[in-house]
Amino acid sequence: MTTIQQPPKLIGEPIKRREDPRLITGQATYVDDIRLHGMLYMSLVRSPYGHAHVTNIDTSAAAQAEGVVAILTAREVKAMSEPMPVAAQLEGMNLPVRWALASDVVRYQGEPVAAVIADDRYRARDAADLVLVDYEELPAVVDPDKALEPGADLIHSDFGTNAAITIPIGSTEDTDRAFAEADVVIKQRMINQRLIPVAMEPRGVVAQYNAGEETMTVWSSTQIPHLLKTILAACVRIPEHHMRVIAPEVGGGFGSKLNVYAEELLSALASIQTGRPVKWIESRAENFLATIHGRDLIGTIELAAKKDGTLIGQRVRIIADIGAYHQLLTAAIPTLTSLMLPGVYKIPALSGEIVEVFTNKTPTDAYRGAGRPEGTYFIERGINMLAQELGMDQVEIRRKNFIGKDEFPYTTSAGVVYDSGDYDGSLDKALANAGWGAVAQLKEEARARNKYLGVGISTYAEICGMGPSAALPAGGWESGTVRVERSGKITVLTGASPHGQGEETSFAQIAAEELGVGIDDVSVLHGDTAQVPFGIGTFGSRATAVGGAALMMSIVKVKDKARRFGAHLLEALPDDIVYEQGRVFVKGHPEKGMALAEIAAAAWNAPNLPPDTEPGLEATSYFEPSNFTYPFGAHVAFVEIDADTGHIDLKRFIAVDDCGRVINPMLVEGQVHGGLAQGIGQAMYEEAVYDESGQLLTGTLMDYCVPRSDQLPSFELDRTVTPTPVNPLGAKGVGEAGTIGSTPAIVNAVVDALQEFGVKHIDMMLRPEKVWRIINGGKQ
Amino acid sequence: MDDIDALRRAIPDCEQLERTSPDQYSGRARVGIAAIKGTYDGTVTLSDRRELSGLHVSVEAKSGHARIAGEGDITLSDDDGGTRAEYSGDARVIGPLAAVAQRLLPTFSKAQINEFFKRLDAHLYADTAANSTVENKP
Repeated sequence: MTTIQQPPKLIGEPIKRREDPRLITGQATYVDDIRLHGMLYMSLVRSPYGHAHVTNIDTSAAAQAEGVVAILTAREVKAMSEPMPVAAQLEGMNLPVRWALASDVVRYQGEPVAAVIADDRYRARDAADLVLVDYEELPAVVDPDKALEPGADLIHSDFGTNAAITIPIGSTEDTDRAFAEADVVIKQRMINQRLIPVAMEPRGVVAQYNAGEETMTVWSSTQIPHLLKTILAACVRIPEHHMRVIAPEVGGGFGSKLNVYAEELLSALASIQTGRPVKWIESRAENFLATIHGRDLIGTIELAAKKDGTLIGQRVRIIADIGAYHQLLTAAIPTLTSLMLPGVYKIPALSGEIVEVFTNKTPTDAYRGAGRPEGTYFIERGINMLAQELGMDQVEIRRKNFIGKDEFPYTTSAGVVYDSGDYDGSLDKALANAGWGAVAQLKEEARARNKYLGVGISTYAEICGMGPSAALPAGGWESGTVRVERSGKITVLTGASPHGQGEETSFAQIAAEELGVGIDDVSVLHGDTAQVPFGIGTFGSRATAVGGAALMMSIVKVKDKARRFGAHLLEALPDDIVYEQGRVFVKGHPEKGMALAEIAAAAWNAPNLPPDTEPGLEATSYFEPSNFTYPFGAHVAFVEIDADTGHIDLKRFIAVDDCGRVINPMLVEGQVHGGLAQGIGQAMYEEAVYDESGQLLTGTLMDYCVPRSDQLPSFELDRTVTPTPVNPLGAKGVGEAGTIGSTPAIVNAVVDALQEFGVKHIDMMLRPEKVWRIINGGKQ
Repeated sequence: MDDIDALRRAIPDCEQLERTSPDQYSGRARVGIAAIKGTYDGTVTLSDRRELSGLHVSVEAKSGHARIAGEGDITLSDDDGGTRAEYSGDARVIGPLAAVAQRLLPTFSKAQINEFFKRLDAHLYADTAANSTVENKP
């Protein structure tokens, strides 16, 4: 009798990333590694001003510089292309028409006005300096509050206002009633400052127009190759079926590459014009100005509660500083904030508004967390302020208001339906891991050393697995293909375009375990629109929850078809055939079976097909989720403040995250680590600062502090597992959790540490100077 | 301020200086701030001249990295048999340099101005070899 070897269990195992060997040995191919015959290089002339009239552009000197092949200005751009695309077009919003190069007015520092194309990167850069642009500086509007004042200088004069849109939230009547009935009310203006994504690899594009075929291939460091293909094709007037986009290795995106940028249009136009491939690689300095920024919301939040701490109402006014223009999804990001406002609590009434405001700054768009960190911050700071006001404990007030484990699916006052959760469960675990009982003693000990110890909790939920197509501007489904090659090896294609998340590993784990083959027999391909069926991309913690679900659907189809072949070839009834451990066999008779490789050969050679069965062993599926997923968790921060310097020492950070079913715990931890670094970065280290004329003052890594490992403690991670019913994997998504839960935990901890100074709130980022002033009796 | 030769020697790293009108110079200097070195073309305009007691200076300069606009006043007074020159001013930096050098700029400008007066001093007193000091009063 044949013994069937049990294949190793893969799903749920910490398999090392299969991507890493090529990445850490320098064998990966990023956009800048692509070299094509006859390739030209593009360098951009960018506005040094925040706001100015462009009165003249003189390209004559640049045109004569050595190696220069072409120069583009707004004139060529307008003749050759469509305006910049905006996918998030909310009803009633002011939408300025914007071209890939500015013509009459520049509205943020770094806005491109001309593109110089030369045969060498350095010659292109030098020639760009020879383009003489005459500017007449205009007053810049950098403060979103002042931008809304009557008589403010206008950024887009056509609209007569700097407001891009005002979006009402919830029901005013119910909320006003709740506030009238409240025993206690808190109100606080909170700043969620502007951040710069700083992906390790800046953006880059290579565009190659093939005049003979009238086709275009674009390599771009993007999170969304398929959407880019459709949108870019329309923008540069190449029929979509003649356009191919490839996202090669992408060195991080964090949402900043979930976009369509001017440089993608310009590289394509330059290639059409010159008939040669054109490369553009963003410098780090350009990356600070020309790639989208994140956050930048000012929220005024009010909470109404009963004496016992029961929340009864929430009111907000949010000013979102969106910068000078709409990028692809700009206007939609603050709407995610409004959906997240109730957090993990039962708050029966919610009302307010979001005002999105134009300013002379780089446009904002999705940055890791995209709207949810802001909403979470407002409620998680708010609930701690309420606890302080009521003299309640920050744990007790949360437990009092949690949506109960048995209350799911739960419709919040923001109108969304939370899928599943166990908020007490994750908080219990976080408190146990933190040693919550010892906090009071630790505080005393710290005081003896002239330090102030503070502990902060944040309990969060987030919106992931994006998402139902009706909720997204270009579809929310994802594709997944499973192809069993003739030899029995497996090729998986995913429309999600991973760029650091590790799906080449986790999707191989799913396919290998489900199909009963070794993980080395599975490869996962992505990122090339000519190779992979249409997909949406990787963002909004969706790749596993949506793309993984599509993969599962295709696995089921392939196994079904393998069984049909098995039944035909083994001369048994299909219902009697089982697929187990990489073999099909008659139930109870594993020795009378066929290996997947044998079935695959039969399917592709096809000499003897089952009735009504097509040759081949391959399936493609498109998974449309019925809802978002709502991961959740509890974070606890311990900070110790030095009384003499105001220095904040983050002593411990405890995170318990629930992202549903876990495919690879090592990848989940990696995602949480990165998210925590960025979330803690927002609280303690990062802030994009503009001066009053619209000059970015934090435009380098010397001035904008991305946290380094010595500024972060060793994270103490744990998890609970509450699967989602929304997809067949039960996975919720974890890409953004770290940025969402951690930021308020840190601020809550610092405010807690400074209790004896009567501090109710401190705005981010938490500079030691601010803290020192509080300790020394000054104002913030 | 009317002695172009003295100015050429006094302006640090001055590569070229021409007088375009009685109250205006244009020129070129190679300046390095932090790691960013650039050749700046600019004009200096003198106004509000007060005989033997001071004047107003406006500077505009442009390079591939930045546009710099500055305004300053120089006040001269008797000081124990010598001449005391006091200056005050304000400068704006526009462009990529603003992001890099904002923090370094005050220190850098001070050093440049000190260097200017030091060189001017050396030129003026070259013949007499008189002692002079340059004292920094921000």
